[in-house]
Amino acid sequence: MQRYLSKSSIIGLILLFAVALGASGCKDTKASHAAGLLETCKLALDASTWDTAVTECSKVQTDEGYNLTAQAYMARAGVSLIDILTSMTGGSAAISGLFGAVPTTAAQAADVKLALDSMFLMKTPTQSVYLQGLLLSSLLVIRELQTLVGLQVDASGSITHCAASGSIDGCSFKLSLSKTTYTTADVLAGASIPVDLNFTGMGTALYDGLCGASGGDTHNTKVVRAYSDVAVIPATTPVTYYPVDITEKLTINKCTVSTTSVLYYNNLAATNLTSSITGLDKLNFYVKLDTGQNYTKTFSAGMTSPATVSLCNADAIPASGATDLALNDCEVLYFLENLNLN
Amino acid sequence: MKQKSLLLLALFFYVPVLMAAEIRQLGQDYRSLAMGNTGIVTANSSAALFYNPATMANISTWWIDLPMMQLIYSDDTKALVDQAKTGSFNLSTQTEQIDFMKSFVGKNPYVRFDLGVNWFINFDKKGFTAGGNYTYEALLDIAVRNPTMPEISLKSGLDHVRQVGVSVPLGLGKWILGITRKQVERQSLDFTYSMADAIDKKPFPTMAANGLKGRGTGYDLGLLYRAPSAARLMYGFVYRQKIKLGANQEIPEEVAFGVASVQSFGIGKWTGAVDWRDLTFKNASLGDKSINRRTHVGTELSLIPFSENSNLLSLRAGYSQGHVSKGAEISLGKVMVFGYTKYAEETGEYAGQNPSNRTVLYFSMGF
Repeated sequence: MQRYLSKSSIIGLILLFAVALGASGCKDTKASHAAGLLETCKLALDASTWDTAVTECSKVQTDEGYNLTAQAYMARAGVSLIDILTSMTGGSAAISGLFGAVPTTAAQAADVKLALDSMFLMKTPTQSVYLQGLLLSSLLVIRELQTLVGLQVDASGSITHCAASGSIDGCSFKLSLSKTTYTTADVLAGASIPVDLNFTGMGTALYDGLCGASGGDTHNTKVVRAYSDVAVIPATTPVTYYPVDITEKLTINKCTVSTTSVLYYNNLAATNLTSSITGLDKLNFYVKLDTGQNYTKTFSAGMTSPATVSLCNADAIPASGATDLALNDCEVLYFLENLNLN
Repeated sequence: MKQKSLLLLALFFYVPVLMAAEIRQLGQDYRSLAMGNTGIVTANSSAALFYNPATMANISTWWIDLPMMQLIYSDDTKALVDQAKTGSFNLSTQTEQIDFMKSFVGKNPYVRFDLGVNWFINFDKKGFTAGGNYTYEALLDIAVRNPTMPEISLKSGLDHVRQVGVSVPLGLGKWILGITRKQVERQSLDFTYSMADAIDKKPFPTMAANGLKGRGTGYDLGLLYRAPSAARLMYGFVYRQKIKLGANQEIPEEVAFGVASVQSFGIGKWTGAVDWRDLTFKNASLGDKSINRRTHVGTELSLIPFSENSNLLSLRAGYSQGHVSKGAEISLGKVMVFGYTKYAEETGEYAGQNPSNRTVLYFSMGF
């Protein structure tokens, strides 16, 4: 060997080992092709490292990538599709299974919303996506309703909330009159008893959560006449009563349902889901909310002739139409007093 | 009612996740795997035909392996075996299938068993050698993925490989031409079974009901150039023809290149090699053109020779696709050979992404 080992041979050997050593230090640090990015995403999911999964899956801008990104967000929010599926008991109490999966923190709710945003980026959403979209959007609607009206469900599927009796009088945002008992001293100028109807709206949080934005309308000019139980003096035959003029001093919150909002996704999913699964039809919250219905309230305390007040009316704040992507307190209040998820 | 609703719900979630792209090659053997899966130049064992038919010129004697047995298993296989030992492993019910998927998420049990007969005869020291393999390769490769909706990806198969080849020296033997005729019969089963399927009580696919069968023939053409210098550098090249197996199965073509040096000293011999495999990028995912993933580096120290192709003790190490390998062999001539290798196969999409740590146990008897 020593006899024949030439300079070129030595150089050759050195080169060989240089290549070998170089190669032995070579390892790819990131994916260079689409399948590699997808695999990185899947590995993060396999390892249940949700933050990494969210980051890596977001890089895969294909339908599969969007779907896996959505799953990563769901997992980070602690929402398990398996748990939802296994807890949904079917039949009349199917919805109750959803309540256990409702996000409890703002961060979790934000992740669920991001999951929805991701899955609906898909060019060709599958039935699976529509089902996931319906379930997730419903979770967020339920979360808003829990905050607003204390919505709860028991094991049998019975719904309880502050308006479960059919009236919002038990809710913090109830409508109220400035007076409910009347005397002759309340009569001004021998004409009528002035009363204010107060309603300051349901707040913007609900609409921000459901529509992605919120707004409001106010008015205080509409007057509704009723009759008190205070007889006119001097007495007449037949007996007549002093009128009560109720001035509506209202703020009505509202929103336009944006195309990236929870309610929009809810409607999109419900509309496209071709499933006959029992109970899922109850989850079309958009249709339940955007009914175009007005909210009316009758005041009878201290009245001979009760006063019926419509929050939205042609003289002040017009009622919106059904499924017009415009939502306001009138529709929400009607929804709450008629809420039935079973 | 509950079951039906659950079933209908779950069915919507079926989104198959494909098994990652391991580059699968026929005839990988314990020696080459220990040396970083190199062999385009340095193969000199019974697996030479699987790497490069021209490397049969490295064989300077004759032998018959009867039988040759090789077991390859991944570390994750142990978990499967442990479950089996405790009697808790059963997939006969829906609950058991779901529990299995949940507990094995991220794991990759892999088992391959090779059984065969090999023969090689050298006719001329310049490199005129003929040889053949009659081999069965049985494979079970399972990956459980996606904890949000677990599913099993499974590949299993049985390959029956019959191949014969010859290496022919050109001129004085600096150039060697090799050719192999390879006939492969394959039975395979490849599917993804999701939790939705389990809830649906869909039958678990079986080879009998869902397997594919195919048969095909292909040729490998190899070259070896032995540089006439004391450095004893050798260069190898092989072109492996695609083999169509019918029923939508095929073994992709491969082009590979390697360079190596073998140095003898006293009672031993040292080998160093670098291979670049799959240079036409036909064996991995579309767009995967990682050179690191196709780079293989290996070395071997052989001590106490019985013959030019047999040493009492061989120690090996390598680096393949971003992962280290190592191995040892004790050989009593060709009468008995014991081989042991630890290596990592890349099952992800680039070098170093997702190794499957595996062990190879080899035993052969012969004369």
